[in-house]
Amino acid sequence: MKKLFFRYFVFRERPWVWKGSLILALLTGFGLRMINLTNPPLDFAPTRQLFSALKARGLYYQYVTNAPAWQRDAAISLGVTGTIEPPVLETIVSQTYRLTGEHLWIARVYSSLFWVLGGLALFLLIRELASTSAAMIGTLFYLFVPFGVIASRTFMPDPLMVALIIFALWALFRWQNTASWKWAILFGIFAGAALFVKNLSVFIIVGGFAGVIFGARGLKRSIRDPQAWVMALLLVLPVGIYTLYGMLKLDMTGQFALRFFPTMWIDPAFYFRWAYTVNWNIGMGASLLAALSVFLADPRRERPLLIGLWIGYLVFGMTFPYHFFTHDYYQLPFIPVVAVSMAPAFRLFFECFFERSPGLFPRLVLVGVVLVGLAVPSWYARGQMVNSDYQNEPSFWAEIGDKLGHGPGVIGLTQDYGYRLAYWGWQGSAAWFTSADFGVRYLAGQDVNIMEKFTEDTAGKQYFVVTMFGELDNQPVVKDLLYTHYPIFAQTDEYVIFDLQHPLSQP
Amino acid sequence: MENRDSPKLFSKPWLTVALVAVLFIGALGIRLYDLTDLPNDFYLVRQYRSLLIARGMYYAHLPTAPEWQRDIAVAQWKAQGLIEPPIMESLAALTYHIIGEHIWVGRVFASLFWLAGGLAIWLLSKELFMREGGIIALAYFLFLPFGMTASWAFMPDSLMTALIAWSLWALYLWEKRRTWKTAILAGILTGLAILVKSVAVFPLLGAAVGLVLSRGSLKRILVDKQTWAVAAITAIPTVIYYFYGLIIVGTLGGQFALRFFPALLKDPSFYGRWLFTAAGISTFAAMFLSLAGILLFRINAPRFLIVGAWLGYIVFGFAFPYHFITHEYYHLPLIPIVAVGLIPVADLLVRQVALQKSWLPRAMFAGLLLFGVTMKIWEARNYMVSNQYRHEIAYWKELGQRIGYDKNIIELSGDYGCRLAYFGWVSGSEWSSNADEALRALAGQTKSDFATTFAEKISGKDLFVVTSPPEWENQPELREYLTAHYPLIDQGDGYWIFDLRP
Repeated sequence: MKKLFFRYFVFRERPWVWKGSLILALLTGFGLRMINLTNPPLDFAPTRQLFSALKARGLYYQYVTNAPAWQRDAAISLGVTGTIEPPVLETIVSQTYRLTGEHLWIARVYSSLFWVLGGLALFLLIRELASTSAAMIGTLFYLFVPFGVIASRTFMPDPLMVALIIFALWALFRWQNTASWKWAILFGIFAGAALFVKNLSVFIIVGGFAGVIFGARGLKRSIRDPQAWVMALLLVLPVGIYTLYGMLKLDMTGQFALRFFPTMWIDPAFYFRWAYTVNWNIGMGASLLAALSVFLADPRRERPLLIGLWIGYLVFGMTFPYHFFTHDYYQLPFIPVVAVSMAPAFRLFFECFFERSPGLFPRLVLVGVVLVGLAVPSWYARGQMVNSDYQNEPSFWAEIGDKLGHGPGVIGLTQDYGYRLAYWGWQGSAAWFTSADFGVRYLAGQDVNIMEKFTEDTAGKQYFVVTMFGELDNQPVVKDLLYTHYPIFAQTDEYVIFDLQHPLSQP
Repeated sequence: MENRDSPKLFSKPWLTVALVAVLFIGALGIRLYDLTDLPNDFYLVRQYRSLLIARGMYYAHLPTAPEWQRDIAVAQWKAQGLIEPPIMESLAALTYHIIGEHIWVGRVFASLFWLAGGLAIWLLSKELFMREGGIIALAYFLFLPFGMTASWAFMPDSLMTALIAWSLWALYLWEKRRTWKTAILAGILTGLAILVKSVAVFPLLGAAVGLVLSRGSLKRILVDKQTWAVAAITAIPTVIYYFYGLIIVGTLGGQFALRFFPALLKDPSFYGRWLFTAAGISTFAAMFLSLAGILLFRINAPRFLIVGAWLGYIVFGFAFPYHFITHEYYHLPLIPIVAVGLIPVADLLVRQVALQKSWLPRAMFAGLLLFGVTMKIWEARNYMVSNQYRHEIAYWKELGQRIGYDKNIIELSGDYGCRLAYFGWVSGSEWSSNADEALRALAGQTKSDFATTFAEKISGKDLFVVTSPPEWENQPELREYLTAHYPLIDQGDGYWIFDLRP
């Protein structure tokens, strides 16, 4: 009876089987991301996460009427942290704060939800491109690759961006296959939204779009196709308007500085580092399988999209060579690219598997292998989430903030460009350069005179706060300046505050 | 039988051969890189044990060596307990007689053996008519990061792993041809693998049983003379060796102590650590593709062979739970098993590439393969460049001279005194490290009181030499006792020497 049940219901290609499995996978993926939910968001790209946290709090405090005036003013002023992308996630989170109160984990929930919804779109895309079984494997890879688990629960626009990229690609592929206005407009909306949320999505989206236009539909036909023009227009419209507005009103020009390092293209180490970053975050095996799998795809129907995605990713890397291996999260859009690209290989695998291993037992074995294959990365990701504990950070920064008095006139060599101090200490500060900051400027050909910079940056400042002692050791000139010429206002084993207003001697 | 008439990756066979040759050349090249560095990067105690044995064998027949040096070298060799037959060490000692003593000789042998194992993987894929998939399996076997590191270590494991691969090939060959010649070959290679390191019995016994069971009829299996012959030939070398070790020499029995910890089997975290170690060593993607690959074999023989090897590996883990989660190299037999499991998956993919009319997919395949291999070579090279140990030779030599070759010492070291013995020509007894104590506690042994242990251990010793700052830091009772009761006669960078003489 049990055997019959398995044979005729569970393992037949019945819609409810894959639907049930998909729902379970999505829920498990979401649940996994909820582990250690209330941990301060310092486990991954903390600077970027705190940037968003400060912005969201600033937006929220505009509506808070029962907070002390100084706190309200501080929250709003600290929330003006510069403009990179439109604060979409920050706005959603701040509006939620109005209902629930300020909780940093709300952003984790939103990001996780976006990522998991992206998994749904990915499943639909791969199912259309290859097969249901291949779609399940690709979606599981997307949901459970450890780097993706950790990075997709962060307070950053990237999880939402990746989800929108996938929805856009799904709509694009549907449009390629149906040529309907519905999918053309949906692509335009999703792609436009992705670019609006974070313009770096342009590489993958335009890559995929170009692949379909050039490879699947043909350029001549596409030029005459109004749908293609509407798609392109919707794609660029929101981000175009925002960028124009940002350049004119929000002083966004600074965002384009120190980003392009074409000299790195001729350095072989760059390519090795790139490959190393991919290996570390996504896996060399999966990436090579995905690359090979592109050549197993149907040359007219599937391959153009895949090649477009890969070219888009490569152009992305060449455009931001420095950030590609210093900022792990630049690799996030590559996860769905790998997942989709592996689909033809997995389709082939399953065709072969069903042919060579018929019957109940091999299927049970395969299900077992897949489940163990999910358990290992999930457990690894869980370990990372549990082991990185930052619960003591808020009180530490609150103490420093109280010491400094929450007023202006502070410069610091503190973690994350002073964002931790700003968020938990309610204390704004100018960030003194780290050695990496000096390094990137040297790489860009700039010459920085440390003494001049110190004089300029500390002019009018009251305190110099240091919490990164290793970093201070890396800057012996600055260390010597501070300890020789300025009295210590307060210090513990974990921080030291110099009084800049009462120098012991003139530097 | 697998399909013979499938498309080939390259229309010209020499291109495939060239690709395979490039893989072998690259594999040898990276293994010979930084050849003269000390073998401290991977289980150094085990490697220095082999170095001491090889040197002792060499000096025993070296009339030109000073007598004191010969005596010490031979004594250090004899002091190493019998574990496996010293095959690698004998080969190294013989080579020393030709070219002189060089620390890298063992590494060259280990590397060559591993490469020979790769040849077995390649030949097995040919027997399976899955040559295209064999290219990827071979690349995996030769360039897996853990495999690279382990394969240049002066330990029997490289030879054992290679012989496991050869044995899998021979067993399958025998199953295909069912001739006496192939049966004897399978018996010899399987027996050799187990002789080199007895733990090879687990995967190979599993593989052999799996293969035989794939025939279906138990009656047929039992009446098959070849099967009995293979079993007998396999068992003979190891039985003789164990008879020699346990009965004639009588020292082999000590190797079974502190090995079996069945209590660990009840600990769920043991299984998690096992899985993580195995997935980390064989790489996660490869391990699971390989497991899935087993389902793609068209016939039962290779499928049962690999399933049996996997089951043998699992039994191995149950037999040595402690070592399985503390000694990564215990998982080395997994590498050829995973490599063989990869063959059908890789073959499926590569043949599909080969079906394409355009040359581009084939070129891309070769390019991707070489790119992946280059990446692994580069990582290995970077690892070797950033881990240099040559400077240690002078340190241990000088320390040996300070101590004096004639002194009777007891040592607290992090490496069982192997580096001081090898470079400093000074050996002594060992004060237990914290790790040793923890292992004994895990085995349920009770710790005797400090004063009694100390008195027993230093009896007849001239000096107490500490060469491990972390151990020195973590053994406060010993530190305080020595400092309070004995004069510190010398102290330097990372060592303390106490005079125990009254």
